[in-house]
Amino acid sequence: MYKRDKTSVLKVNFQKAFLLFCLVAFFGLASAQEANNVGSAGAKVKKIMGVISDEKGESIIGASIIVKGTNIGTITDMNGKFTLNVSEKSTLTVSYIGYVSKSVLVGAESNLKITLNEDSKNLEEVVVVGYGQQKKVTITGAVSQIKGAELLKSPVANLTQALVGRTAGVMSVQGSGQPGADDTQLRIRGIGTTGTATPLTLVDGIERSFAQLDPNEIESISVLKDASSTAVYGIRGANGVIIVTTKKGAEGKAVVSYNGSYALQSATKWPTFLKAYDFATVYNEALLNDNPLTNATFTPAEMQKFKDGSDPLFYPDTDWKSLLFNDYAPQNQHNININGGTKNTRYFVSLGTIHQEGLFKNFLEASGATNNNTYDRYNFRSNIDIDFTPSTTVNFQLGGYSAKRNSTRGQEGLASDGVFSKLFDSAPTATIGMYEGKIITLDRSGNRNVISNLTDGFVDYTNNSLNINLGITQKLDFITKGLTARAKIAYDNQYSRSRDFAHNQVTYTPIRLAAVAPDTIGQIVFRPNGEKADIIGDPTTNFSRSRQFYIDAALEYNTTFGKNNIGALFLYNQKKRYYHGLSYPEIPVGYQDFVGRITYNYDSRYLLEFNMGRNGSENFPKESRFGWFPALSAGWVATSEPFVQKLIGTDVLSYLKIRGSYGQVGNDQMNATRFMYLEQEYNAGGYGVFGETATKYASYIEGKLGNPNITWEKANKMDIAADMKFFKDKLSINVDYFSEDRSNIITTRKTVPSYVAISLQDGYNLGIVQNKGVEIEGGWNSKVRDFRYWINGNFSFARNKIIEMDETLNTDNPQLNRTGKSVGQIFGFVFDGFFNTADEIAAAPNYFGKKPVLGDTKYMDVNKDGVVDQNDQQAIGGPTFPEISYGVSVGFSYKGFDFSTLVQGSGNYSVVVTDRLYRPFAAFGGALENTLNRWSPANTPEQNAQATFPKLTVTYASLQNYYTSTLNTYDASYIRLKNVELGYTFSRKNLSFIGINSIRLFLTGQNLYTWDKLKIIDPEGNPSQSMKYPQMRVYNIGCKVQF
Amino acid sequence: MKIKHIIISIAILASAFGMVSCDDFLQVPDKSIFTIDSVFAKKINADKYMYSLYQDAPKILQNWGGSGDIAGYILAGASRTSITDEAGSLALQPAYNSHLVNAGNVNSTWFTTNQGEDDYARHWKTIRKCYIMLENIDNVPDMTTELKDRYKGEAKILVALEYFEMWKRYGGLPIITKTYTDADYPKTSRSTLKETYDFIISLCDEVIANPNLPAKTTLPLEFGRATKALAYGLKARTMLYAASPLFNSVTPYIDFGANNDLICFGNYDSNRWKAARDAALEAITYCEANGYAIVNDATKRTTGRNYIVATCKRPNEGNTEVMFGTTWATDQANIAVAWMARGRMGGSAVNTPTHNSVEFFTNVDGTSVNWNASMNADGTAGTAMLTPANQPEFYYKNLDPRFQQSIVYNGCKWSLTPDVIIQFYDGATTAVTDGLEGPKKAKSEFMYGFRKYLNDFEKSRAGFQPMNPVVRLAEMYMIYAEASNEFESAPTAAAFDKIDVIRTRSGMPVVNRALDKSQFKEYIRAERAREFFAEDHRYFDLRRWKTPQPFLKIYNMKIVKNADNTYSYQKYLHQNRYWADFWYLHPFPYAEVYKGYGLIQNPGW
Repeated sequence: MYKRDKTSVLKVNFQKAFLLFCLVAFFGLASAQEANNVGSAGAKVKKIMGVISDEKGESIIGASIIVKGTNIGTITDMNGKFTLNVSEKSTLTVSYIGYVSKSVLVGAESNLKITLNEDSKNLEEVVVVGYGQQKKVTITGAVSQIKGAELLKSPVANLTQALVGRTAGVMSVQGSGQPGADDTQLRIRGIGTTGTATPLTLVDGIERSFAQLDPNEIESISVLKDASSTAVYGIRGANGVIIVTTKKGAEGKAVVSYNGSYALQSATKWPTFLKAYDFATVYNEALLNDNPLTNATFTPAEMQKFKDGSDPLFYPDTDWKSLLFNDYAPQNQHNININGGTKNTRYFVSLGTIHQEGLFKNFLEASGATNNNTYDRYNFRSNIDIDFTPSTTVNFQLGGYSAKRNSTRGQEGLASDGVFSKLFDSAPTATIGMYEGKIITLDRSGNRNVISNLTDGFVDYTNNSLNINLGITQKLDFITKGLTARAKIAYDNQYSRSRDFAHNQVTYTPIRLAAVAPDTIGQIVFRPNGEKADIIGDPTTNFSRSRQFYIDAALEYNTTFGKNNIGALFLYNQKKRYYHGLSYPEIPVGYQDFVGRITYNYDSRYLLEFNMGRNGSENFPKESRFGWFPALSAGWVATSEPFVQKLIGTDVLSYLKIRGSYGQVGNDQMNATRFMYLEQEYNAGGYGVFGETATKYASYIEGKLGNPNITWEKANKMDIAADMKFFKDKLSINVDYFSEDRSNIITTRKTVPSYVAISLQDGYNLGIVQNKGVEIEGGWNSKVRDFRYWINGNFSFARNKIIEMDETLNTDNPQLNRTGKSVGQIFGFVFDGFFNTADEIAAAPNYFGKKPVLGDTKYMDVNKDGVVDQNDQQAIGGPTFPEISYGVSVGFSYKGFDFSTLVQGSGNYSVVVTDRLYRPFAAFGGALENTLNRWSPANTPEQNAQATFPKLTVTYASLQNYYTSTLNTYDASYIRLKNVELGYTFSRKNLSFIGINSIRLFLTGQNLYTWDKLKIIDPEGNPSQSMKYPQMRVYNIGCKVQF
Repeated sequence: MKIKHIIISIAILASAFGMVSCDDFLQVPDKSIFTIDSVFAKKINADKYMYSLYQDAPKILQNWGGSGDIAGYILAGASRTSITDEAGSLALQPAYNSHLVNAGNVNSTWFTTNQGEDDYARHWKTIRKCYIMLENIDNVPDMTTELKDRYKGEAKILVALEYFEMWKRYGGLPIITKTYTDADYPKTSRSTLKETYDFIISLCDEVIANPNLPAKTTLPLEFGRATKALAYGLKARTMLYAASPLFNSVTPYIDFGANNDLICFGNYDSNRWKAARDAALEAITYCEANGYAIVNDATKRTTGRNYIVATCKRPNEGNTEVMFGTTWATDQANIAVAWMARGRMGGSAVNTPTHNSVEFFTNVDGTSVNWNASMNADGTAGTAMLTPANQPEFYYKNLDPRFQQSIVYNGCKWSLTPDVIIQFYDGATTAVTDGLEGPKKAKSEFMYGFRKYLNDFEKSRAGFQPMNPVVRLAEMYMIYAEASNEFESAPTAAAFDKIDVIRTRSGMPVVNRALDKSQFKEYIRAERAREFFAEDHRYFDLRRWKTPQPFLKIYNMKIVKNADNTYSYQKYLHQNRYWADFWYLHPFPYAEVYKGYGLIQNPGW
């Protein structure tokens, strides 16, 4: 035994020696060819110093210098300098990520100046994909990646907003700009289901929200779009996946960066309200339209007072918007992070804060509180990588934030209670608002005063989030080369609390006593309403907590033989989320996934990839919880073929990859309803009231029927694409065509008769939706001497169609069927003018069971049955979510200056102007400017022919005049100057004396200008009474300092 | 070499899927859930289930600003009274859907959901609950057969009640006699009007034959539960509707071709009146033999207190007349808000009485105030009727005690302590002084307010527990008189007597015996308007009589306080309302018709 072992050791040694000899011989020959000089053992060792810079002359920090053939090396310091003891005539290999590595021969010179050229091909560029990374060149799925630096251009607190317009395939609508509650609704490749279409979002591999992360922490965001890239997420993958990766430390001296900015925010658009006199005029007209027998409310004398403002306490002309809101609100943001490490330990530590204020004026100052929106967030992150042994790396990531926001009470309640809808509730004539520190109400307008809605208290929210990842990667080269094992544990903790502080308030009604003498004005007294104390009471507090445990383990194998590159991955993970306030609170939400991937390529030319998820979701019956989600993809890099190179020439077409994928992914969500397969129990719910002293008697009611057959939505996705580069990579164009067939869509049943009267389960697999589209990304990147410039553009189009949705097809009026239309298609009437003449009325068909009268809205008899009624609706306008989205960014850098701008837009969608924005006077409310162009009996026929708003009404009894029609359905398309950034970087040379590496000053602007067709409010806002806080335009100034 | 790599890769992949899923990681809720069997395993649970049958019992007063568990929330907060000539809603508040009905803009999408007059689907939910009770109550081990019978009786009469509520609105209906699931339901189209009628009557008869359903709730805490009195009352009421012109006819209100039998009987049969008369008499006989009586305290007639007790109070407050009354929860202060003009008790003027409803009532001596003297022929305000100085109540003070208990008007006393006088007028000066109700603007659609249902809560809304008088004995008297008069060739003494009872107990003179058949018919109809003011009869009475004209012209009063402290009263046409003949029956919800099981929509919709 021993002997044999010895032999084998010897044998191994011999083999090693032979290999070593061969290597030395090879390198020796190579160097000999290059320099005609082989370093010999006896060569003289000397100290050399060098500086490494890029083409612009900027020094490169952290570049590595290795003496060829040895493991001697160093890295450059923060001035790009290095010193090294080397033997003369040795060769240095200088490399840095993103640059072409260079070999430099050490000669007599002791001071080296080495310039590295940027590697435009960037063959090593890697992209984060599901459970791993892949080289961009060999990717066969549809994945886009946004760099952290791009996200930093947007001076916004919410990271979801920074994504908008930056990449193809991401469509968005941002409905609210409220500090701390301004998530953008993101959809990947549009909408492919009538059910839940929200993409899966992950931060560092774990399902987490990323909206509240500090952009300074972000390395990149990957958007996985097709089946190939999302199959590993299987049952959750159908709506696309967004993977956020945080920054990691890099070997090198500690680099401290400070990034700070100050901004002013203002609303992109406010609705314009009528002034008191105009309001009173249209109000009187509306009253008379409703009931010609009525007496107009405002007398001419009163109207005059509104006009001349002679009696503002009793006859006010209140501009509620100015009374309640400031024009600008400040925001500031600071981040400091340290990045560095030794060979064995690398770290990235970041601390960030943002403070954002809202536009409300504060009416609670006396109580020491505020009703204004404020948002304060502290983000922290510490990512550490430690190489315990050359083959073992431990990765520890700790991240989180603590956020606090404040809002008015109304804002957080029902949409109809929101302050923004109250803005529509108050007429300019309602009350002066505040007078001598008193909140004034008048009987005239239902005793309304929006200030009461603002000052009835505030709600403060605390939201703390802690995320921990602990991972270990072990190279298993001793088993077989290229084999790696890794495992990860993650723990998340989320805590939020809301405290609702009611503020009792006293309002006053002014009363003018009868004049004591003729021609004098009576004394004014203020009658307090109610007997409330003017104090802020104890809060109503609500908590919410959740925690999540995640664990995964993976085996990975990568190897190369000849030109064959092969990779394999197997991963298992499981997750549980404990969340109080859940239905079935005793059972945490669970997922379990098995993931597999094989990649193969030959010479990075022929690419093949197979991904598979086997995932289980608790939402389905126990015996059918797990599904298989396979996807196959392939690619061909044509430009690697010699014949193609010969045919076209690499000068013109430098790169062409054709790729395609096909596979199936799933969706297990339906409005977070759990265990839909279970028959729900008879619940305690409802009650009967009996007794001579009425008493509630709690009762049981039948629960929902279970759907034992429920399963996941199945999405069959196809993607065909070409990635191209031209003119030495200056021009790049990527084109993707995709199509998706989503079946088994989880949706509600609509055809069960009322008389069955059973509570149906929310989800049945009934729908089929088809979604198809195109994405184009292009870029031009070049330079003229020191002037570098680029243009990047992206365009996405996705259109869906409902194939099936449990609808009984209406054969009498087929235009009413939703099947065949887009998800979110608007249905309404076709506007055909107003009834202007008696002749038109005589000729009119029956209108909703009545004869129309002058000024009524005329709709087309779409089904030509001689009656205009609800059967005459049809699809009008587009869907309610954009089918098109695009962004174009242009930028340049010249010497220290850099400039970039992003123009972004959405198209092919519509919005219905409704509720308070289309129905003035609601509940004593005000009126918008759009009411002035109404049909009016006082108008000339010519004026009425131009009218764009129906006859006014107070009661809305002529409701059909206000139905959704082509008259109030607007094209919601818009183009925005989304982002502009101008920066100047002071070069290091001028700064080194104060120990600062670099300073960059910058000005940025967000949402600077919008071109749109809606014009009433921001085109992304909801023009209804649930209108939210407006979107913000931001003017920002900031600096970034590196030490 | 190559093969080795491939083998390793495949082995890794295969191991991924070779693993059997660790079965128990994804948890499942406990199987021992509380099922229908658990409910009917114990009496105590079955009792609780029985309470749910009443969750959506008929309500008359609506909840304003409705919270989710309040049934009967219709017309977006307005009450049914505001879509009749009895009342209207504040015009300045467009949220009240009564405006839409009054202006003639009704569509089936909202009219038969909780935004309109009726929530169609809710009837079926109650019916399902009742059938679950009927199908499972026999399984309860610890319950006596008698009690099971009682619960069955309650469930059956509630099915009949829901069917009646639908039948009077929609005509013939799908007849459903058991519970179904989404998997086994039959496609049931509408039965004829007659079949549906027969179904309701047979249910009533079965309940009447049930020996274990009490005539009256015996325990105070059971008030609100269905009794056999409800079965008698419902049977009489159903027969009255069947005999009335809308249904008791050769041809329907609109020709519906082959489907005429869905919306009328297809013949006129005077025996339907006889049946209604007999059923009313049976109801009276049965009820009076079982402890019910018309509230008629001789000392309280002229104050109208008998009327208030009969319509708004519970048995412990002396109401011996209510055959079925329903209630909301313990304190419904917000309902009071809906029934009061603005400015008093936080009133919202959701429902305010019209001048038309004032004219339902005569003076206590039987004479009428000639209100028309103050109005021009074209409906504009005419020659003012002047009151003596400081007597704003002058023209109203002698009206029917039932009026005094139902409607507040300018100058009437709202409450004694504090002494609040209702003031609805435009002042001689524009000065608004403290304590006044102020000018009409933004206050109240009409110069009147409700008092009915608010009696005894003038000082505070706190503790307001309205009772909804769904069926009361007075109605049986009225049904008897009406059906008898229609059946007989001339009014009978018995019919006159019945009306006399109703009038006498409220301090009003007896009916003039000289009235002929058609005069008495009009008299009875007017008496129903008075006696059942704002009790949800008016809308359906005018439909079944096919006399919608009173809905059309709505009058108001212009009141001015003059410098000499006299008051000018001028009646004027306030509003023209709308009626279309296809409104005689409701539409089925649009979505329901398109579910594809053969539901035929009513004509005109």
